[in-house]
Amino acid sequence: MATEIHVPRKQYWLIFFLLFVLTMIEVGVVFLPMSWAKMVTALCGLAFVKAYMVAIYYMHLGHETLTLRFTALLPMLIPVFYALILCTEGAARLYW
Amino acid sequence: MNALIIYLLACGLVFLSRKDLGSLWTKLSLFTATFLYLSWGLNYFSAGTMALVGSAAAIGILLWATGSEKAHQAFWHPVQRVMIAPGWSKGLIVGILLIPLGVGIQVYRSAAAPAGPPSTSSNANLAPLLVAAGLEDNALTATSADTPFAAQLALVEKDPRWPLTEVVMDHHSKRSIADSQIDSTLVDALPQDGEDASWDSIAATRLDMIPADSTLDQDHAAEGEHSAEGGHHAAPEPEVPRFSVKSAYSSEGVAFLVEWSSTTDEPTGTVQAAIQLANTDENAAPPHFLMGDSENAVNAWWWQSAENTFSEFIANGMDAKTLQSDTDQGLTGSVTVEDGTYSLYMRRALETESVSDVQFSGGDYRAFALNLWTGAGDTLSHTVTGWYSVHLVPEVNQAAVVQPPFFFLATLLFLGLIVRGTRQRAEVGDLKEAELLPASTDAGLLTRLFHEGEESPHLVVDDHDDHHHDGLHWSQWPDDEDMGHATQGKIGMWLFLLSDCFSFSGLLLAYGILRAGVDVWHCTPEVIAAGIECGPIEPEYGLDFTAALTFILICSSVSMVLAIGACMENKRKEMLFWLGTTIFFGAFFLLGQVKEYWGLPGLGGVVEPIHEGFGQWLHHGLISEGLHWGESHRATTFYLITGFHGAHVTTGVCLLSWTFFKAYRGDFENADYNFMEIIGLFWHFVDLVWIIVFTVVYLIPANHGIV
Repeated sequence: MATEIHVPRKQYWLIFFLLFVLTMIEVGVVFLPMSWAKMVTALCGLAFVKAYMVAIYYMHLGHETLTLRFTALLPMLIPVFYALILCTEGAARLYW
Repeated sequence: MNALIIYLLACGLVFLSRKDLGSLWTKLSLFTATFLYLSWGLNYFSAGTMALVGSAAAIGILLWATGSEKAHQAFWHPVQRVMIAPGWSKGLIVGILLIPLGVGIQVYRSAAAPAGPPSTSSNANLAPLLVAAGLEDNALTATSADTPFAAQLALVEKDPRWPLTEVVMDHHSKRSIADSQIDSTLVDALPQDGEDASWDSIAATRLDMIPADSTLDQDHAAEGEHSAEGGHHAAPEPEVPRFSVKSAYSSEGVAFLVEWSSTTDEPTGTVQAAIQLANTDENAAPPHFLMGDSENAVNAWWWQSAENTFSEFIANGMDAKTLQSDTDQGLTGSVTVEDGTYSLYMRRALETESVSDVQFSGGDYRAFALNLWTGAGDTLSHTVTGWYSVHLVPEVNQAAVVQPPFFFLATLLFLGLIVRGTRQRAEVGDLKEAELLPASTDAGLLTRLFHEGEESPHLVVDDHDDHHHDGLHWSQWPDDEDMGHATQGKIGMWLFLLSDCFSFSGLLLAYGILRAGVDVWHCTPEVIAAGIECGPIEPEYGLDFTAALTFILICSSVSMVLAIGACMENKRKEMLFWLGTTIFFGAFFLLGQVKEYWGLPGLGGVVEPIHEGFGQWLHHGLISEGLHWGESHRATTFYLITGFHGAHVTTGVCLLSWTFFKAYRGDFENADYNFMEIIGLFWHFVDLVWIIVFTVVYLIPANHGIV
């Protein structure tokens, strides 16, 4: 039962197009008249989506087993968690 | 010479203690001795790379050139013995190996310390004077750097020169080392006069002035620290508050530009100025007195306004000045006065034939002081500076640029030899000694994890090749319950990427903490105009340009994934095309980063930043525009993070080039895409990280109102 090798070229180009569009949006967001906090949230959200697309589609993490996905991604929650703690601390310094 | 003696002694010891030249201990000792000998006086970096190369060479030769069995006996066997030894004896063996290494490094560190600026204390030269005055007790205290004033205070009344000395010392002690140094910049062509445009790019040092007839008491009284009960006059305000000094040197000579402004509207009478250069050995402390003493002469470059002459004299004290003969003087200069600001330009050849002259060469530190006389007769006013040091900043040593990459490549070569040596040995198949090791260390952690409960696999590669199973595509691995088809290499790469991810996370978190912790992150003219104090004005990043670089990196990602796809389908031409495209985009990104830092070649020099329209695509590089490493959190973190990422891109391009070579050679025929997929993972990761870096470093705008 030889595994059929299928290369999803269309998908790759679609992701490429999306990455390009999202980058354009990112650069555009900087010039929009919105509050600093909203802008940072929007930029981080866009960056996360782009990084996620690269990891899942280009790095084929979507095709890997759950164990490998967790091995690679779950520990990344630690710096995210740490960043959130720092944000809380920063917010506390600002308002209390 | 010291190094040679130590080397010969070490060799002698080796020959005396162990006659068996083939023993590991002999080789090790000889290697250490050779290393000490060769590295003596080098800087840490060169010595470090040399140690690395040397070790690799020694091991490589052991494993490769001496034949597999001998190499095994000489290297692996002792290492395994150490590995399986009980704790205490292992510690003993490691200690015996490390102690000479530690001692060597200590000896090396003390020997290789770079020459620093000279001591700013001139007390060492005070001692002989005190002895000559019959005050030996004071001389003892005076030699101690901790008590600079004790001996002097007792002598203040004895000599008309003491009060000045005392004040100079007091000012001296309040200066930082950085304030005490005048950097002489190496230039291609020496400025021709005081108005030469090339002075603009040279930083000025400001020198504090002291009226020559002031005393410490007067000085303090003027500052309001002492009452006027002592009967001293208040110190007269020095007419000239500060000197500004610039210096440059080239093979033609050394030039100084001294500027000061006269506080009186109409400078009256004659004006004279003199640069004093202590004629001591390089890096030695300057004479205690300005204008020197009988033992320590001072070479002075003297200008007087009456006849507008420039001449050199040798001084052995205030009243013992000897004008040098005409033939000894190579001094030229010019003076301009504009709105009461004097610009005194003086230059001389680096080296002269007169032994009385101060001789310069790149890297030197020379003691430097200034004198200024205005008026004449009763109205003569004399102001001086304390001793400063002029540093002729040397050219960057080319060896420091050339050697590291060379040593890096050499190290790679030798490591390759080691690998080749061990592989050859494995092919010989004589791995009996592996039985020395406990069974649990035979297999790596991953292997043990995946084969839990099975018989422990052995190091020996036997005929059974357990990843060639019927029914699977030949490049695929058998299904693992947890990891699926992922090969060990792939899992390893993922784990590496995870660790790399933590590195970047650390940098970015530190960046966030620093950024949130300062009042002004990015100092711009607008911020200063708003009345907020901040550091040096820094340029904006070229957002459009970096966005284009980001796009380039995304392009390289899609071409990478297409190359892997072509490899899977065994399409050689397509694979090579996409792989080449990826390398091209990667290299292009790197070039873009170089341009971002240093600008396009030929556009050097300090210029106004360009931010409008297409101008920014031609900008002169962030470094020229004033974004300097170490001058602000913003600049340092920017170069650190983007530089770290740039290092990853460089690595990626090298790996991809290697992959291209392998692909071209035909290593990936039969659709063996495992290797390429692993390299591809690294490359995509580089892209992924850039997405984050681009957002955090470039896009998130400064927000002075909130953080």
